[in-house]
Order: sequence, then structure tokens, then C-alpha cells
Amino acid sequence: MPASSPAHVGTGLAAEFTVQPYAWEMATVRLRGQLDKLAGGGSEHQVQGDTVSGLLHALETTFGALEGWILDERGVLRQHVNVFVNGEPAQPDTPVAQSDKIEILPAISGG
Amino acid sequence: MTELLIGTRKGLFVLDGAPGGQFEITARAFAGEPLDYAMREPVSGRLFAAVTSPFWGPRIWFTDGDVDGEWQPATGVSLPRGGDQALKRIWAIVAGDDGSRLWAGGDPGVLFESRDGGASWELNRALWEHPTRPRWRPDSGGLSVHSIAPWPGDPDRLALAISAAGVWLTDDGGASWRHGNAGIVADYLPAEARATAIDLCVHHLERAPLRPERLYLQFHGGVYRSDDAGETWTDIAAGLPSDFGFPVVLDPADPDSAYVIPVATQDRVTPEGRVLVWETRDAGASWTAHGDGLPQQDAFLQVLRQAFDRKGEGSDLELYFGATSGEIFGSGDAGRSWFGVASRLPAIASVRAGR
Repeated sequence: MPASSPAHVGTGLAAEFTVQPYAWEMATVRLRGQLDKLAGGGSEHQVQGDTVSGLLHALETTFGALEGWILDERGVLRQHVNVFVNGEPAQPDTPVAQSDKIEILPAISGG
Repeated sequence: MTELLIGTRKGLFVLDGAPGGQFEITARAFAGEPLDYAMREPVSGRLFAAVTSPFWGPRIWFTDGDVDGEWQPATGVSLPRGGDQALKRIWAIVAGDDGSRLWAGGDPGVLFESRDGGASWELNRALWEHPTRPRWRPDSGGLSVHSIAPWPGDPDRLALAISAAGVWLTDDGGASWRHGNAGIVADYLPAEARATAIDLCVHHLERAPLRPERLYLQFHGGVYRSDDAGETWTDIAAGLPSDFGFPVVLDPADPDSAYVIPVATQDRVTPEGRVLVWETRDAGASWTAHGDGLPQQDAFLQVLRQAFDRKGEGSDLELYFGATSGEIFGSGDAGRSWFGVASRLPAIASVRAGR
């Protein structure tokens, strides 16, 4: 298991818990506008995920108010939301490494 | 003073004024975003807006303060997580007569209910899981719950209209639903299929509050009245220049009243370039056209189903409608004469009058 993955430890009703990775093992997600507000402000958040999709799910889990804003009910990235990894356009299956910089932005729109 | 909440392709506009006087834009909100519907719950005064963000999806927002101030997103306005469908749009928000319950209808054919003043909402599971749902078909605008007609004094009794899945009735607060389509004829279907069809494209439905078993319905070809709470329907379109249209408005003081804005069947704009509002005061036995003050040449308007509303009743009845051309017209005398309210707004999706 990679060091950055959450480790499920123990079994049984009371024993299972998750060990969170250290902040330095996580990617940095930059949020703006309404998304940042829903995440409590601060602009940057440390979130873990091996892919963009995994990271976005983790972001929703961490900040419940974001649920449904970036991913729809199916878990699909909303059509006009762009995700960048280190400044490059990314897809849901794009790998995310520790210390990557992730930005979530509305797509270009007009009319 | 009358307040008009105007939902447009570019956000919410609030206009204040009085019939015969000037209406002014007094506030804006959600500038640039498609605002499908806005309403003020009369008991609490809380404002609601249904916004379909092209980026972040559909959402209901509310505020108790200034229109151009802070709005909060309501919770629970979504489909079950992990399913194969996502909410596309909220079409309507309707309050019960005492304000204790609110309902919101949306696409894909969904109803939400709130019992805390609209801060949180819950999906109606019985409609969502109805066994006939796989047979429901959307029209070109989607699969929308766009009309919600509560029964005054009994919030457990509701009538809904869905495009294009017909009329739905509940007497148990939404625990169970049944069709109310008898008598509605869908000319757009083969004759052999009409008797059992459920893909019925209702455009709008309204209940007469003083006689709640009476409802009026604008169909995709037909105007109908029900006198038995939506179980059966009678076509009352005879006398209208076209049986096609979208909105219906009633005078709450008169169960025999209804107003419609017919459009041509082929192009769905006001026929022959004339804007006319048609009124019945005898439950659809006869219709009277009102055009005084409305454009009577070269006016090919589209008036959407949520873009016609009223304030007051009886001799104080005011009527307002907006068009996708950005024009709004109003009447302070129950439709006998009309005046221009605004003329250069973005495409208008909804009009709600109040205060």
C-alpha cells in the first residue's frame, strides 16, 4: 500500500478507523469564489487522491458543503468544470501525485 | 406597490411599481446565470430562486434579506447519490397556503418537499420510484415537474403536471401517486395509442382556490378543465384562435375564470403578429380576447409557461406576463387594458407578482 493511501486498521464494530496521511503527502487544491466559500475559505486545501476523480471525491468528503457542486449525483465531473493539475488540463483519470497543485475552474463560457 | 420577480437567462430582476405608473428595476441577483424561477413565500417573505448554473449545476437559493445581498444554497435538492441520473433543473417552487410546506418540481420528473421553510428539501421517493417511470418521456424541454397545485387547507392533497408524463394526483402527502389523465387527448400520438398513453405533454396546470376540485390545464394542443380534482378532463378550447399555449392564470376569486395566451401551433409565437390574452368567466364555455395596450402587429412573442402571473383578485386582479424577447406587460384591471412594464430585459423564463 502506498504511504500516501489511508490505511484501514483493525476489524470489528469499533476497531476500524482510518489513518489520515500527513499534509505533506497530499496535493494542494486551490478553490475560488463560491467553491472556496463552501469549503470554509482559505483558498488552498490539502487533499489526498491518486487521481483527479479520487481527489474530487475526497474533497467532497472533507467539505460536505461542496457535495454536488463539482461532481454530480452520479459522481461524474460536471460538464463545464475544468480541472488543472500543475497548470495542465486534466481528466478524471489523470494521476495526481503528492505536492501537485490542483485548480478547479469554471470553463470558458459565452453568450 | 407590486413586486415583480423576473427570472431571465441572465439572472433575477426585481421590479417595483403600480399599475398605470412606472415600474423600476430595484434589484438584481445571480447576474449572468440562468434563473429559471423565482418566488417569494408570502407568509415568511423568504425569497427563493432556482438557478441552473452551467458550471455547478441546478440549485435552489434563498434569502431573508436584500435581493442583492447574501443568498444561501438550500440543501437536499439532488437525486440519490451513486445513481445513474443527475438533477438537471428546478422548474417551479410552490408554497402551501400557510407556508408550512413548500414543494419544488424539476427535471428529470422529480418533486422535492420542504417542511422547514425551504432551507432543506427531501426528494419524494414515491414519485421517483414510481413503477411507470421507465415509460415516462421528456419533451424538448426535458422531463419536468413544472406545475404543482396544492389543495387549500389540506397539504396532503396535491396535483402535479409533468411534461410529458401527464397529471399526477396524491391524497396522502405524496406517499402514493396516481394518474389523472382521463379525457385528455394527445393529437400528436397515433389514434390507437391515445387511450392508454401516459406520455402526455401538459404545459401548465392551475387549481381554483375557492373551488379546489376545479383545475385548468393548458395542454400541448388543448385547454382543459377538471371539476373532479383532476380525475377527468373536458376540453374547453372551443372559441380560442389556437388550442396551443403554455401558461394559465386564474382569478382566485372566481373559479369560473381562466386566462391563456394562445400561440400558433406551428411556430409557437403569438398568431398573426398580434398579442392577445384570452379570458373566460364561464369556465371555458366562451372566451374573450384582450389586446388593448398590447402590440397588435409584427409582434411574434414567445411566452413561457412560468412567465404569466397575477396579484390580487376580483376587481383588484393584476396580471403580468413576460416574453423571451425581454418585454413585460401588465394589466391593473383584470386584463381589460394593458401597459408596458419593461421592454429590454434578457429572455424571460418566469414572472411572479406579489407583495
